[in-house]
Amino acid sequence: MEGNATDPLCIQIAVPSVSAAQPLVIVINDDQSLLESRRKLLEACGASVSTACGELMAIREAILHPVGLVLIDATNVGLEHGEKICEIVRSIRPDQLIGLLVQPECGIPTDTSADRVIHRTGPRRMLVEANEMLSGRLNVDLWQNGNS
Amino acid sequence: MTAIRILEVVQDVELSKIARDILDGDRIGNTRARAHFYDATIGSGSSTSVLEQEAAIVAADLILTTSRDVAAAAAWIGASGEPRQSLPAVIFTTAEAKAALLKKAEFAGWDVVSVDEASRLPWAVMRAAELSEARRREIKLQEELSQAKSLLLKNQKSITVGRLLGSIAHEINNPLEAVANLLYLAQRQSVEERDANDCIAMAEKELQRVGDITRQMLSFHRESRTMEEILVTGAVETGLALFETRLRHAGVDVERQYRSVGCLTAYAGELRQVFSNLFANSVDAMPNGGRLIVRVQERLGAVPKLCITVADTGVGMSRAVAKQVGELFFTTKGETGTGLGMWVTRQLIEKHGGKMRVSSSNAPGRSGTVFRIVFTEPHARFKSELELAAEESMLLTRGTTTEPAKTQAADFGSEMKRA
Repeated sequence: MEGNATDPLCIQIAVPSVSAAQPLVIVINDDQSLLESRRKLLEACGASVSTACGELMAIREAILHPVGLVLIDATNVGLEHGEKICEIVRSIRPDQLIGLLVQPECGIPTDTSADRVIHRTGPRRMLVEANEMLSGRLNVDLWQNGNS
Repeated sequence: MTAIRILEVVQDVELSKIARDILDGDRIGNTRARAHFYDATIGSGSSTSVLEQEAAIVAADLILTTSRDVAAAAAWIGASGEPRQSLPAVIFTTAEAKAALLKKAEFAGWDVVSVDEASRLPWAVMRAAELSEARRREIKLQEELSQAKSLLLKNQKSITVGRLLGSIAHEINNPLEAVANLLYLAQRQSVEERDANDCIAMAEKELQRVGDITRQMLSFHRESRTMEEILVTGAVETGLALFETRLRHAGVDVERQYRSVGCLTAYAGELRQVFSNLFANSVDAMPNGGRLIVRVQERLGAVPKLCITVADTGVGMSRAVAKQVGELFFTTKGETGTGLGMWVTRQLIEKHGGKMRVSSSNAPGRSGTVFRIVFTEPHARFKSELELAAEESMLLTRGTTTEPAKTQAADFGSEMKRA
């Protein structure tokens, strides 16, 4: 299944040929450019990445494919519906690992169904936390470049 | 009661004396009114300095003058400017001059008392003083009302900007994070040069996006102190651009029906605020998606009109509710509404010589709301074909313009001409 890249509500499902060690990550966001940059970033660390842009499609995507990690933005899906999507994913797959990405200035949600709240403070932070959630299956060079 | 402050403008010494005797005498000595005369007699008084005269006018409750001095007193008071032009006057005169004076109306509120009815003078003075006090109160209330209105207008703008800031911050954070991700990738030692270049090119594009967003925001918030000629379709496009994300997320399709390239002489910021408020209302009315139709068209006739329609297929309102739209503090949004948005919208439209009509229906299957705004000349101006051609050629010689709305409007102008 291949989504239409020009459709803002498209799903880009790479349905990659996943090796046993290669973790599959789904990134859900409403911003195509941000999704693309995160996809590149996670792929560079050895993940197989699917991106879902748009609320309903994102949920469908999460239902269709069991994955290692789902990354959802708290304020990016339908602007305020990130937490709602977390709950839906959780209700369908109780064991699914979910990372909720939040803007630090928005504060940490007091009640979230995500496994971990990841602050959007830079690529390194996201990679490190995603790597921890995936039990170190990502190839994250913690000391490279020295910046966050 | 404090003493009534009377500004006496009397050259006729005899009449002046009679008046003083009456007002200072026993006849009104026991009343609450005690007359106090300013020595501000034109031409003969000691307080001839302009400052003293002005101070006397400002402090006075009423003016007492004679038939001979009416013109001078009126000119004096008139020159003092608003609000003292509404100073009531009592004209003390001879019986012969009274009839002639009654035909004139030099003062806002005035009474003529002749010498043979001099006993009426204290009553006339007190009545004038009461009138003056009432006028003062009225003027003060009007000033307060005007200040409150202006404050509300400012507050509403802040609310609009605040609301927009949320989505703007979101819009800016996304490209910034993308830039950070891409630069991080480009710096990795293992990445190939071609991939690194791709990342940098993408990052540049994202930074461009941030610039566009901040420009949009600034142009929305910029205070316009002077009126200028504004292409209506351009202002509509600016408003739509600000709501792009919200409209997309709400699943709202925007249908543009631009059938005019009319201009409005308006304050740009205020016009943008009008459209922003209308679009915000439409988005709120369509939480489950729908259609937003924006039409700009001309109605030719004896008085050409520029009509702007903003219609949505949202939840709509009952006729009774729709009637109240635009009233101060009326809201259909419960605690989340301020009741200012549509009131401000109406105020701003009327300020620019326009009129707004609201029609709505909440009937299942055909619900929606239509805002129809009509502007007429001289506020609205319709461009001639010559002007359109000149604008188009200017755009062509300049190459590209950074304002897509203008290009779109110019393209539309060409289409109109072809049609």
